[in-house]
Amino acid sequence: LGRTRRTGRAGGRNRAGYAFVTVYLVLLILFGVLPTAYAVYLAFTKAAGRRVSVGPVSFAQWAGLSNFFTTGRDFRFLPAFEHIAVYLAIWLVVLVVLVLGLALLLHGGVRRALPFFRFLFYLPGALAGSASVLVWVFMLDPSISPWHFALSLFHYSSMPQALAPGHLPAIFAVIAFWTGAGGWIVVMNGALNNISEEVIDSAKIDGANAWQLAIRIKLPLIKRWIVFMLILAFAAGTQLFVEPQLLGAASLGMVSPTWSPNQLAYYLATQNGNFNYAASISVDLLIVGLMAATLLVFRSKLFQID
Amino acid sequence: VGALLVWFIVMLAFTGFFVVPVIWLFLAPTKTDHQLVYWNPLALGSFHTFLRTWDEIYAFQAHELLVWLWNSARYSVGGVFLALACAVPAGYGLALTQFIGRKVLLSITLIVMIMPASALVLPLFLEMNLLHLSNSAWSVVLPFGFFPFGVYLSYIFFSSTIAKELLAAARVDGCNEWGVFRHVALPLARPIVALVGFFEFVSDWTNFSSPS
Repeated sequence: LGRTRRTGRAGGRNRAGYAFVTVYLVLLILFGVLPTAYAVYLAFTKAAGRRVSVGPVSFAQWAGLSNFFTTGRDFRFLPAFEHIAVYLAIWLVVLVVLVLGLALLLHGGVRRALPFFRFLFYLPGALAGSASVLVWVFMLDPSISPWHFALSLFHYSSMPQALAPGHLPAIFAVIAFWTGAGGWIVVMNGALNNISEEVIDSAKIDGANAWQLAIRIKLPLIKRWIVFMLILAFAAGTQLFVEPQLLGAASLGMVSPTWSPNQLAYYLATQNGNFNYAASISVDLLIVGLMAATLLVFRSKLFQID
Repeated sequence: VGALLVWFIVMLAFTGFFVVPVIWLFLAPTKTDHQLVYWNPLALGSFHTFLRTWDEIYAFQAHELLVWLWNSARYSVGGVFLALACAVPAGYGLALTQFIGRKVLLSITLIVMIMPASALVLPLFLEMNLLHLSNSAWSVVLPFGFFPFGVYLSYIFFSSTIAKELLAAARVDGCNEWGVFRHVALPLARPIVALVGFFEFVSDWTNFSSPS
């Protein structure tokens, strides 16, 4: 009797699980799965070609991997991925070290000052992406920047010097950090606030100093949040678009319009009108992002709940 | 005292990094083009210039700006309510109930989040046409309500913060599954509701690509 009752309850919980996710599931299919499936479909079909009708639906001609080969052989393809690799290396290290560093400093520091600094750190994140890049166009021009003293430390006296090709990955990392770090600091701060006071107090009684408390107690307890940040920051990094696009437009062409893979996709879609080529590059980026995500999910057991 | 001093110096240094460009941005409309280039970057122009700048924007396309602001406001508020109603229960269900397809749902949500957003603009537009929703407020608010980032925030919160024993105790006390969520989990989840609502509002308010 006890056994049947137990399975009965678990069965009820099962159905409840579906009830909690149903509304989300509908939106996920409508605005996530279907558009993604259509983009993948575009990547594997030809723009011009014989269409095949199955009942009322007509399908474009299957292209196999030819879109991937054509875009892969494009002379702008490899440089764009090289740019993004250098950018990612800088961006991820800067983001993880400084976001966690600042969140831990805020959490372990003067508690009453925490909301104040957290608000100020977040402020750039509340600006629209395009506005924030336009701000940086001015920040990076040594003749009009409030940072001219910092720029002159590097002996940059003109915008072309500041925007030399070799500097671009680091510059985009700084802009992305300026806009994005605050949001993650807010998230990590929320995560740290969820740690119970008892855990922290007992670690203190055991003689942990502030450093040990941060590294050995707090960080492991917010591991899932860190993994989530890494997955999204990696994917967002490979998809860099707004920063090079607007900086290129505002600096009158000092940044190539196909600097990043996502820009190349946009270029192919708008200048060549080939959405299929653009979609194949998006799928390339999806695959790269998924490889990183899979690795992180399995290593961190992110999906495990017991 | 030394540690406290270092702490404040580090905090103020980063505050400068984050805030100076924002201050510059707030001062920019008070200056003319000439002043922007030749004056000290952090100098205040004049209130008169600010008013004139504002008048020009305000007069643009017969007060179109007001329509834009009103659109942004109502779409964002609608988006926040819809996103909270979907994302928080979904995160709870994914973290604290077991059902077949749970990991598949987590994986698909992640894939959709990782897919470059730029690749989804055209498919979304075609889909809205197909559903005869383009040119209606729903074509903006419904996609706003889909907020996978919020689902993950809620999932991680519920899976790492709420003790299963607490929910089990409520069940023993006779709560049904909805009651457990509504009366036990949700009151504890205030911080995450605030966080998801906040991020959703900012992302809607500053969203550019999907409505256009």
